Amino acid sequence: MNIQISNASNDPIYMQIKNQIKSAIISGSMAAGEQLPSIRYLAKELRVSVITTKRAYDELEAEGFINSVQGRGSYVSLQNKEFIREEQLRKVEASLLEAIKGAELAGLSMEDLKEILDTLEGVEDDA
Amino acid sequence: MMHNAIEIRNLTKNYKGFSLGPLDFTIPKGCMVGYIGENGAGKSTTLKAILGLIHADSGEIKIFGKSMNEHEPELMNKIGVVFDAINLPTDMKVQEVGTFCKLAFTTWEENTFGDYLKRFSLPNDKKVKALSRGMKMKLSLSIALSHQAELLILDEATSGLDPVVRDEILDILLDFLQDENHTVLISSHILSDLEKAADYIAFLHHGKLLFMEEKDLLVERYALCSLDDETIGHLDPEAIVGRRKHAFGQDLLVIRNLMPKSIKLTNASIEDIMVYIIKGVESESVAL
Amino acid sequence: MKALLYKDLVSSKSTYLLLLIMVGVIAGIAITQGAMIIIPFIFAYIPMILGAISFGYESQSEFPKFVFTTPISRTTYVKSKYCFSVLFGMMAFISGLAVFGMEYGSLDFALIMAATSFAVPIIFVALQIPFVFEYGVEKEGIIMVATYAVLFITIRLVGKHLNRMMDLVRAMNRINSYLISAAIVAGAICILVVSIHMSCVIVKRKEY
Repeated sequence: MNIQISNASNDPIYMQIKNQIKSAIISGSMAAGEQLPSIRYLAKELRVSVITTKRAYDELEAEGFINSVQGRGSYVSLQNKEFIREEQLRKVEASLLEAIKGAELAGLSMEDLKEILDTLEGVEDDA
Repeated sequence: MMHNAIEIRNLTKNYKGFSLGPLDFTIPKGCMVGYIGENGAGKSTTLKAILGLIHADSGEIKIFGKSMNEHEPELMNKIGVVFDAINLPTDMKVQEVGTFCKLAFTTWEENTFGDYLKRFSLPNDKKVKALSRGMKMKLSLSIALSHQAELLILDEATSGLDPVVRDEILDILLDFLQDENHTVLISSHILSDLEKAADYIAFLHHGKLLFMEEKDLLVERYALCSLDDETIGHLDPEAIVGRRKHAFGQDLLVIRNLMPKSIKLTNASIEDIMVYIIKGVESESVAL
Repeated sequence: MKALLYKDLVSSKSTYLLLLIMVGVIAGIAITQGAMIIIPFIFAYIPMILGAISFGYESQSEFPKFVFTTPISRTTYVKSKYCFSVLFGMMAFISGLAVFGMEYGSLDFALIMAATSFAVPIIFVALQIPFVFEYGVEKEGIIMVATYAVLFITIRLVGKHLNRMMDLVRAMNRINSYLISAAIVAGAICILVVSIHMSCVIVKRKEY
C-alpha cells in the first residue's frame, strides 16, 4: 500500500489518507478482507498524529469501506463493492443536482444541459 | 481502567515575579502531547510539579489516577524522565550508571538498557563527563526507556541537539507510542519536533494555559496570509488572531472560517500559530 | 539505598584513594610515634570528608533532581548520607577497644573510650548534615572548619587532661563501665535519630 501525504495540500491530512486508501480499495489494489496497518503504525511511519489516522479510519468505516475489530485491527470490508457503487451513485446524483442548479442560474434549459453532457462524454471517450 | 495518564486540577505555584496557574488540564493515555510556550512561560515548573520535585501552592495532580500528594516513590518506576541536563555525577562511567539504575529501579531491564546503549553507540567505560551533549541525552533516554515506563516526560530534552539526533529521538518516541498504554508529554520550544507527530498541543503563556487542542484541529482552524492594509480593513476583525506589520503590508494569522473564500491562505505551522497568538495576545487583539 | 551507597563508592575513586593514602600515612606516623590513640579519631574524621565529597559531587550535577525521579524516596536519600558515619563509628568503636585495651590494659576504660570513639563521628556528622541540606554544600566549608575546630580542641583537651580524665573514668568504672558506655552509645544514637528526622523535614520541604 502506498500513501503519500503533502503538508502543502489544501486537503487536511486525514482526508488525504482516507482518499488514498479509498482509491486503493476501489481500484482493487487492496483486496477485500485484506488487513490494513494499525493506526499507530501508520501514524508512526507517516509521521502524523494518531488522531489523524484514527479519524481517517473512522470515516472509512462509516462509509463502509473498512471494518475495525477492537483488539484485532482494521480490514477492507467484504461488502465494499455494493457500498462503492452506492457511494459513487450518491456522488453522481449530487454532482448532477449541482449542474442543474448551475444551469438554472446561467439560464440554460434542460436540453442545453443534455447537449453539454453528450459533448463531455465525447471528450471523455477521446481522452 | 484509567484513561488519563495525568490529571491536573487547579495547579498554582507562585514565585517572586512569576506565577503559574491556575492550571487545569488532562493528558489522556496513548498520545503525545506537545507542551509549548516561550522560555519562562512555566513549562518546566509544571513538569517539576507533576514529578513532585517542587511543591505546588495549591491544586491536585494525579498520575495514573494516583494522587501525587500521597507520593508513592514506587510510581516513579512507571515514569521515564528526561531533562535537558543529565544530572548524574560526572565521574561515573556509563556502565556504573546502569548498575545504579539497576539498584534504584525495581522494574529495571538490564538487557533493554544494553540494547539502547548499543543502538546509540554509547561505550560502557566512558565517563559521563566525556560524553557529548547529544550522547548525554541519549543516555538519559536509554535510562528512561529501560524501566518499563508507561509515561515519558521530556523537559526541553532536545534543546541544543542537531536535527539528525532530534529526528532519531522522534522515531524512538513514536516507537514508544506503538503501545496504546504509553503516553508522552514533551515540552519544547523547538516546535518542528512536535509539528508532525504530536496529537495534542498545550500552549502555556506567562503561566496561563491558552489552550490544549488536537493538533489537527489547530492546523485546520488557522491559516496564514499576507495582505495589504486596505484589504485587511475589509476583513472581519474577529478573523485576525495576530499580525506582523512590515513596510510592505502585513502577515496575518487568521481563522479560516471567517475569511472570504477569495483570499489565498497558506497552512500555518505550530510555530507560526504560537508566535502569532503571542503577538495577538500581547497587543490585546485576541481572537482565539 | 543500595543504589546511593554504590554511587558514593563509585563516583570519586581518585579522591578516595588519596584519602586512603593520607590516612595510611597518618596512622603510620601515629603508630611509630606511639600515639595510637589518634587512630580512633581518624575514624571519626573520615566520615565528614566522605560526606563533603558526596555532597560536593551531587551539587555540581544536581544529582538529587535525578534521584527523585527514581523510586528512591527522600527519606532513603537522607538516611544514605548517614551510613558512612555509622560504619566508621563502629570501626572506631572496635579499633578504640583494641587500642585503648592494649595501651592501658583495662577493659572498662577501653570500653568507655571506644564508646566515645563511636559517638564522636556520629555526633559530628549528625550536627553537620542538617546544615548542609539546609544551606547547601558551599557553606559546608564553614561547617567543616567549625567541626574540625571543635574536634581539634577536644583532642587537645583530652590530651592535656588525659590523666585526670582517666582518673574520672576509673571513678566511673566503679559504677559500671558497661552502663556508661551503653549510655554514651545510646546518647549518640539519639542525636543521630534527631538529626535524621530534622534532615528529612528539610529535604521534604526542599525543591529541586
